[in-house]
Amino acid sequence: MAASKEPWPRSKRPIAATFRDHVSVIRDSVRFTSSRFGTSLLVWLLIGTAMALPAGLYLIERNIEVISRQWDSLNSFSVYFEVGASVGDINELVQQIRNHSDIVTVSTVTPEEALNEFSSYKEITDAMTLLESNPLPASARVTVDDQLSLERLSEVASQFEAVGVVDEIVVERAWLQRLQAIGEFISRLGWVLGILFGAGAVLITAASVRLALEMRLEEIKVLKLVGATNAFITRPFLYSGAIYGLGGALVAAMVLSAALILLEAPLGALWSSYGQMVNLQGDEPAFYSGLGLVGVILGVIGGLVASNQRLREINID
Amino acid sequence: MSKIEFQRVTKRFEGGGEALKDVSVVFPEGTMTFLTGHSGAGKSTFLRLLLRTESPTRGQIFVNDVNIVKLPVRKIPAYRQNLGAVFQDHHLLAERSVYENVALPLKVAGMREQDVARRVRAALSRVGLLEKERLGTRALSTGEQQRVGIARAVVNRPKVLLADEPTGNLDPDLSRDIMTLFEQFNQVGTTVIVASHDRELIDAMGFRIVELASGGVIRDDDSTNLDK
Ligand SMILES: Nc1ncnc2c1ncn2[C@@H]1O[C@H](COP(=O)(O)OP(=O)(O)OP(=O)(O)O)[C@@H](O)[C@H]1O
Ligand SMILES: [Mg+2]
Repeated sequence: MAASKEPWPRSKRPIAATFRDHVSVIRDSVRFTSSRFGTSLLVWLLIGTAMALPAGLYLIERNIEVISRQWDSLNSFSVYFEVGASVGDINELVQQIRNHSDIVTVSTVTPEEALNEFSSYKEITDAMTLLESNPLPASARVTVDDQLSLERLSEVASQFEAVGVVDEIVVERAWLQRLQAIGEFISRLGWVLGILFGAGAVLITAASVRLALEMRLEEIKVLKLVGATNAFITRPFLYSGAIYGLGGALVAAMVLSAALILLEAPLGALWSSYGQMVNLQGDEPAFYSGLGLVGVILGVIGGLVASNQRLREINID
Repeated sequence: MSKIEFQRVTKRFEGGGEALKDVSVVFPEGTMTFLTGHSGAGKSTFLRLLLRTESPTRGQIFVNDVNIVKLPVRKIPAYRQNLGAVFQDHHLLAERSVYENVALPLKVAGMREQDVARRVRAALSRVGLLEKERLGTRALSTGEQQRVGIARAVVNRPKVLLADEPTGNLDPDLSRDIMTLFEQFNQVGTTVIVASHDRELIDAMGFRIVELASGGVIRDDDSTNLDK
């Protein structure tokens, strides 16, 4: 007699039966959720809040990454000459810079070119017509060797700082590296908060599912008596969890899109002052689908936690 | 179809005495048996062991030569799907309709909705509750609730039918009717065990009677089982 023997041969349960179960369970779960809409809404808001913060940090981090990539000045610095510096003096310095061994290219921008570039920004040109002379300085964009470290780049740049015609030298990379460091920090923070708040979302769902389970304890006992498997019994609670998680993700998505809309205008103004176009990341379908998926997964985990914990306590087997 | 055998089964409850003491009984396949005895004799315990809602303290229980005491937990659902059980305390879902209660074993078994409806109506008409299928079980009398439990036990045409005081709340005519229903199942091969202390009824039925007293078998029509 084999150890795995059963008193009766097992009848094959058709795949269609499992499919039917799922369909009817989804119908029941949706009905259950909507019949207790107030509670469900509260759970959605809680989960949504828990998800919005880490997801928001993720968006910030991604935008920083995109911004730093957009910036093509990683291996360059800008030299701004004094207004009214003579062309001869400027050319002399440019020649000097070109001769430096670490420098690859130097391109100069005359005050007139700078003005032309600005003329694409209407408000600024309007303001400038009030001025008698061109207030913009000549500048030079200096590209250095790709391999150059930030320290060396700053060193090279500072060599020209003391020269008379130079007003200011700007090493964008320092700024950018700071931005990247902030991005890195935000990313870490996002992960930490993501794990923390993700666990929070799981616990919220687990508590809510547990409540629903408690209400149906009698039913679970009866189901066990008539031979329902644990999978059959837990299925409705996993779907409830999924609905809670999905609703939470929806709330988080709404919060984030509202935040993006609010932030886009001021960020656009800030960025355009650096001559960059802002194009915030995060309003694409992939992000929102991902958010929804994470919500569903967290919800199902919450449902699993609740039902596994409770079913083990129901002493019938 | 289904042979059931208790081998020296003892059940001791924590903090209680021994509900069953060294009980050995055989129920050959396709037989119908009444289990009787005074209140507290161990009839419900006997049936619960067969359902595996309780496990014996000692001894073996074989169903078709498979020791169900050793049946792994994951195989219990499939095992129970082949049993039909009527419970002394009904175990109905109060929030659901009569129809939904009876449909439960069929839903669990994954039957199609049309077949479920047909089977449920057949079972309900057999216990005389067809016209109450839409009612919630709370709205029923105790006897009606008992009949819903009976319909649920037979709806999936079980291989073994276990009934714990199925006629406890029914009048004599209805009781006879329910017993006839069990008899019909027995005639198509189902092994039936009915716990009842309605001596008049079980004597009239003329089936084998096993009597328990304080957890031991004190009488068995089938002398091979008598443990004296
Ligand atoms: N879960 C339990 N814990 C402790 N003792 C129990 C438990 N279940 C049953 N018993 C005891 O086991 C004995 C047998 O109980 P059982 O329910 O099997 O009797 P019964 O023959 O069905 O009685 P009745 O005719 O009143 O239904 C009783 O003394 C009872 O107190
Ligand atoms: Mg009893």
